[in-house]
Amino acid sequence: MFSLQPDEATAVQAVNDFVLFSVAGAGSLLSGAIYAAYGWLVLIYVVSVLVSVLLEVLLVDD
Amino acid sequence: MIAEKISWSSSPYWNICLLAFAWALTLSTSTLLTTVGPLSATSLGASKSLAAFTVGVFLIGAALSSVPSGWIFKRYGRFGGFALGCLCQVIGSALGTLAMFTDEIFWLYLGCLSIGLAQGLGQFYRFSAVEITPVDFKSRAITYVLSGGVIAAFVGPTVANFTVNLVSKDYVGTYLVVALFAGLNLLVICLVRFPPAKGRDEKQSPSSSRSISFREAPETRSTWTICSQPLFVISCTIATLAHTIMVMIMSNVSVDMNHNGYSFSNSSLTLELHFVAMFGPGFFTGKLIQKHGSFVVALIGGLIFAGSSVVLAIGTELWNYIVGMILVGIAWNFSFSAGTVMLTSSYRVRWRCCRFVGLRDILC
Repeated sequence: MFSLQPDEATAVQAVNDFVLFSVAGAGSLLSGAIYAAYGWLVLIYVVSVLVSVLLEVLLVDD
Repeated sequence: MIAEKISWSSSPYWNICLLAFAWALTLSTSTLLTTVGPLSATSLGASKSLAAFTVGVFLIGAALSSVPSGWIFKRYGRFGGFALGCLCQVIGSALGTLAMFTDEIFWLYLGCLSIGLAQGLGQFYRFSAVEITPVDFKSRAITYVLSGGVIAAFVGPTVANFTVNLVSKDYVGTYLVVALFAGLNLLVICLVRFPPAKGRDEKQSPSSSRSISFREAPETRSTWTICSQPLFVISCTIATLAHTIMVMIMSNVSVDMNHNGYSFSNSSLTLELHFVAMFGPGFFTGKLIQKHGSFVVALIGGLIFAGSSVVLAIGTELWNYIVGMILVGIAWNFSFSAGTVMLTSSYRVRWRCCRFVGLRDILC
């Protein structure tokens, strides 16, 4: 079994946090543009596509 | 190796409570800014697309400071890192106030970015709370830290409601409270007795050996090796998708409610319930994951996300927004928590540690 030094756990966590906050930040910026251009309903549709991607990642990986 | 007495901390309860309080204040800043950010941008004449940018740049700020955060805390210690975060937050608050008085939206975005930088560093309050806790108190520490999220769910929107018209200029009161929160955080970190800063050459610091127990002296892999594993990629994808889906809806809901004629108190109530749904389940999601596994819980989260989309798409009545946003909150909690617990198994450490790392991330 592999064990990890705390510093390395922090580094992996930092990579995860960076990806997470960057993508979410970009998503937030994009969502404003979609909402302004096409309205609330289209935004929900776009988000639904992401939801289906999430479900697909989970089901395929399973 | 983990049961040794902690000499630098005379009263663990005192430190846990203080850090849990600091974490609650950090999250409250986040919920407060989410509640007023987009609407304050609109009041400065921002278009709908630019209104959500406030939340976007806030998150980008957190992303930016997450990169050097490990280095900052290692170099300047916990106190130095947190103090820097407080400073960023005060600067952000000042810029937000400046924006409101000058009607210049640029300052608002810069302020939100700066508050975001503080948020990235503030994430470490929750690590720190568990880190300085003796083993016997760990589960209690985690509970205290978890409750910070629920407190923030109420504090942010409630404070927003009371402060939005506090000063003659709208929203100025709210941005000043952001500085007040930073001031309180600074007071807290002055009172906490942090473990001494680590030397660079130390193999394992005393604090970390207490908080995380290791099976044996490890052979180390590079971060890249760990991060290119399929399990890391999948867990990071799940957590990132869950967070992005939630943020994309949350950034715009207050503006859309405002557009449909709902009052500020209606939209802040909706967000308040949404935040409660985000953090409330944290008390049992960990157990659920242990019992049914990360994939099942993430899948349930994904299905609840799908349900929330239906509720939000079928109408613009108040209940659509409230129920939809509550579902978004629960779905986020399930899939985000499951994703981060999976992440911990991408760097295989002992179960005790996994459980702790998993739980700490439920809060984020």
